[in-house]
Order: sequence, then structure tokens, then C-alpha cells
Amino acid sequence: MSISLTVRNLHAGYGQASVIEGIDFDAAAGEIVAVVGANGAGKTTLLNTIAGVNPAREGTIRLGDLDITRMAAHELPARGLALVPEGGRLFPFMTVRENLEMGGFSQRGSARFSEMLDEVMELFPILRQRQKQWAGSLSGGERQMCAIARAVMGQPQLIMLDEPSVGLSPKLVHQVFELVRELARKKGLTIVLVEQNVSEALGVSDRAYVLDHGAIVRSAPSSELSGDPAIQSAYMGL
Amino acid sequence: MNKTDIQAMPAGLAGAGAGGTARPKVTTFATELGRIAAIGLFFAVCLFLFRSDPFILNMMAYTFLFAALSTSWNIIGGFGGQFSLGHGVFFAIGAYTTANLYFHWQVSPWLSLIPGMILASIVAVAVSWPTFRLKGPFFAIATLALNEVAFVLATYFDSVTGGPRGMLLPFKAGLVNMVFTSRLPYAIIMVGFLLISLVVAAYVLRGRLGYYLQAVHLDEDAARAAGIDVLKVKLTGMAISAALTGIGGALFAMYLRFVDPPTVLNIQDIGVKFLLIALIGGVGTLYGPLLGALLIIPLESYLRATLGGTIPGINLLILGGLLVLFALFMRRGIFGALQGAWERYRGARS
Repeated sequence: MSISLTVRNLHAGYGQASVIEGIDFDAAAGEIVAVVGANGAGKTTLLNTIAGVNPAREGTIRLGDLDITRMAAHELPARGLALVPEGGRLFPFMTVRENLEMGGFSQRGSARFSEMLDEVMELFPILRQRQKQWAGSLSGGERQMCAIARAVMGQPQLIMLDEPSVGLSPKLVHQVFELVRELARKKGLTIVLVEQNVSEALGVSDRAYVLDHGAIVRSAPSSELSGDPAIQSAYMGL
Repeated sequence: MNKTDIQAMPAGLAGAGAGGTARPKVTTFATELGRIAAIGLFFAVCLFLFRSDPFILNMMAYTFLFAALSTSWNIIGGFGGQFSLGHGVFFAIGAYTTANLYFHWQVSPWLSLIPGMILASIVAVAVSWPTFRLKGPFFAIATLALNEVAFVLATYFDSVTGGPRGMLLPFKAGLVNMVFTSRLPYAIIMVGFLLISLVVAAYVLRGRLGYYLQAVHLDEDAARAAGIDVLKVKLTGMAISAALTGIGGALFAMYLRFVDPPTVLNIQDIGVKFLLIALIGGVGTLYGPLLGALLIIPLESYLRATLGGTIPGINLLILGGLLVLFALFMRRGIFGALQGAWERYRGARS
């Protein structure tokens, strides 16, 4: 089951600085949407604002038919929206299994708790092996998988991933993106991912937005963007 | 997130092994209840053996009281990672509530434990609401200021607190009045309080709230992303911790039968003592605070009794030195060191 996300005229920032200036953004139900752009373009701010971590200054955010613009971060998992923060942000002194349990503690997650635990272990077999280990002892790739699995435990309809490729080797990046795609297909989730690794992001997504200095400068199907010489030279180093 | 330095973590959490990659099996609440019962039995035997030695009984009463108070502090300070230096305020609230109700209306201290707990919780939530916006050392300093403010207020409002002269509670021996001629009943009450705080701490730690508190301790943003209402979790932990601390204040007031600001709002003897004991014993572990109190309180009363007359303040000097040593060589406290030794022993055998 999936859900759509609609962002209209979103403004956000910190203190005096305005980071995001009037973004319109959509993710249809079941779609994988990438937001790409250089460092400091406002990608993380965009995700954090949608996730309620920092407040929107103007504009609306709708999850399906529900207006979530003013909702606090901790209320959103119960509505079906999960955020996988940059670097995974696991609880290092809890075991892998406990980390997964933390994701499933929400009202939404607890309904099919043990079933879900089996399911994510099925999806990420490495986590089954590592379940009794401290999360802090995982490698970068395992950590990212564990963070995604933790989000899945809450039975979301939409997952937002903040730079899943950060700190991973190219091979692992590819592997994580493959898993994301498989996850979206198997569970019919909507995925919004924010990436600096433009070529991988365009490879996995259906549609992409190019973010520059807090505004959307392009939006097109990913296949079209990855063939565009301007994008290739600006972001993919080709 | 970068690779977290396991040694840098001040004591482990929950099961708290943290030596290698594998974590010791997490016990259930029922197991902990069994252990707490065994601890209670052991202390009962100790009390029986020393039942006619007032010096030892006095020391045991204080040890159990501070073990309980430190265990209570540990709920929010250790599990939740919120380093409160303001728990002396909740302690004082318990003490003054009981003292007032007993002094003016002859209410049995047993009954006034309840309003004392409630009042301590309410004040804790009210002052924590704004201070929980601060993190780490800033939170600690704000709560330290709280203790100083409370000191000034308690000195000023002498109709409630007796001001700087304090309140001397009348000696009317009897179970209802919680006033006894012997020290034994007090020591028994303190053991009871210790067992109650251990049970509450174990219940919190092994339940959902414990996991939430630890998650908040480890990474607030990740906790939020997992759907945890961070402020609510902190406030709940603080309220439980403060309520127990209020009980401790009330028992202390009835044991001393004297309450004044320099005694109950004393930073080094009360406010900081709770976390000092927890730090030395093993902060964030269930039994660390108890171990810390078993070391610190007898040591302190011994020093006070033997050297206090000739070198005043020597106890503080030695405590400070101990803390430095623990900070340098036993970051995870006595509990962490014992656990490390146990794991090495088991590792060597297998």
C-alpha cells in the first residue's frame, strides 16, 4: 500500500538564512522519486521539513489527503511516513534487533510486530545474522540496511531516504539502491530519495527533480535526465 | 554516523556489556525481580547481624537511602542520559512536604509520602519542560541553577520552610509517626525504599519506556524519526525519577527530624551526590548506583568519623580524587569493571 506526497510553495530555513524558496514537489503513490543536487542545494532541508524535523515557513505538505504541514516529527511514522536520516542514525548501543524493534514500537508498527520482524529479516538477510550484535559495530552498508529496515518496521506507506549512499563504496551504493528498488516493488511503497550520487539516483528512480539553491530547476523522468548532456556535465562528471 | 568509540561511552546501557561486538543477553523483568529479592534478603541478614550497633546501623541507613536516591536519579540521568544536577530540589520538596504536614497537622509521614511524590513530580515536569530544550552540559548547568534558586526560595519563605533556622520535628516515637528510638527501624525503611526504587528502575528499564529513554539518550533525532515523542519520554522519565527522589527526601527528613536549606539543598552532600554515586558505580546500569553507594557512603562516614575532626573537608577531597580515578581508569564504573572482568573470565573458560 502506498500513498502520495504533495508539496506546494514550500519555504524553509534556519534563522536568518532561507534555504528552500518555494518548492513544488510531487510523488505519486508507488513512485520512486529522486531529488538530486549539489552540496548545499537544500536537499536535506527539504526532507527534514517534510518530516517535521524543522518547521515550514510557508506552503503546504500533504500526505495523501492529510495536511501534515504542522505535524511534529514523531507523529508522522504513525501516519505512514518514515524518514531514514543521513548516515542511518542507528542507536549504536542497542543490538540490531533492538534497533528494528524501536522502529516497530509505534502504534502503526505494533499491530503485526513479529510478522514484520520476520519480513525485514527476509528482505535483509544480513541483519538476521547480525541481530544480536551492537548496531555500532555494523559496517557502513549494513548500517544503512538496518536503518532502512528500521523504517520498514513501522509499516510506512512512504519512505524518505536522506543520502543513502553517504560513506559507502560504489559497489555497496549500487547494492543499497537495488534493495531500495526491490523494497518499493515488493511492498508497493512510495520512495522519496535525496542524493548527491546523481547517476545511481537516476538509475533507480522513476522521476527526478534537480534542486539548485533552494529551488527546483528541472523535473523530468529519470531516464530523460540521465541522457541530458547538461545534467551529465553538471552533476555526473561526464 | 561515525564508528562510535565504545570505551568513550560512560558505562553501558541496559545490559551494558559493550566490550566486544556481541551483547550479553538482556534479562527480563522477572529475572531482575528475583535478583532484587536476593539483594533484599542479603541486606536483611546484614541488618539482623548488626541490629544492636548504632554506628553501623546509621551507616547502613544512609547507604541504602543514597543507593535508592541514586537509583532513582539513574532513571532519567542514566537510562535517559539527562544529567540532572537539580534532583536536590525534588528531594527538598519531599522533605519539606512531609515536615510541614507532620509539624502543623500531625499527618503521618507514611501518608504524606504521596503528596510529596506528586508535588515533586509536578515541579519536575514544570521546570523540565523548558530546560529539556537544552542538551548535554547546558542542561546540567541549568538544573544546577535550579538548585541554587530553590535554596534562596527556601531561605526566604520561612512560613513554609522555617527559613534559615529550619524546622525541628517533634520527637513522638511510634510507627505511625515514623519516629523510632532505635536506628534499626529506620534502616529497615531505607532498605524498603531501596528495593522499591530498584523494582521501579527495573520495570522502567525492561519496558517500553526504558527503550524509549535509551533511544533518546543515544540519538534524539533518530528517536524522533522512529516515532518517539522525545519530550514526552523525557518528562515521563523525569516525573518517575523525581517522585522517587521525593520519597527519599521525606524519609531523610523523618530520620534527621530536622530540615533546613543548607542540609537538604546542599549541592555537594545531596544534589551532586546522587550522580556522583551513579557515576562511580556505573551510570545507566541497573545495579551500578547501588554498588557506588556501597563504596562511597561507608567510606565517607568512616572518613568523617576518623579524620573529620582533625582535617575538615577531607571526605570531599577523597571523593573528588576517587571520581578523577574513576573517570580515568573505570569509565563504566564499578559495575562496568566487574562485568568486563566476568566476560574475560567466561571468555577464558570457553
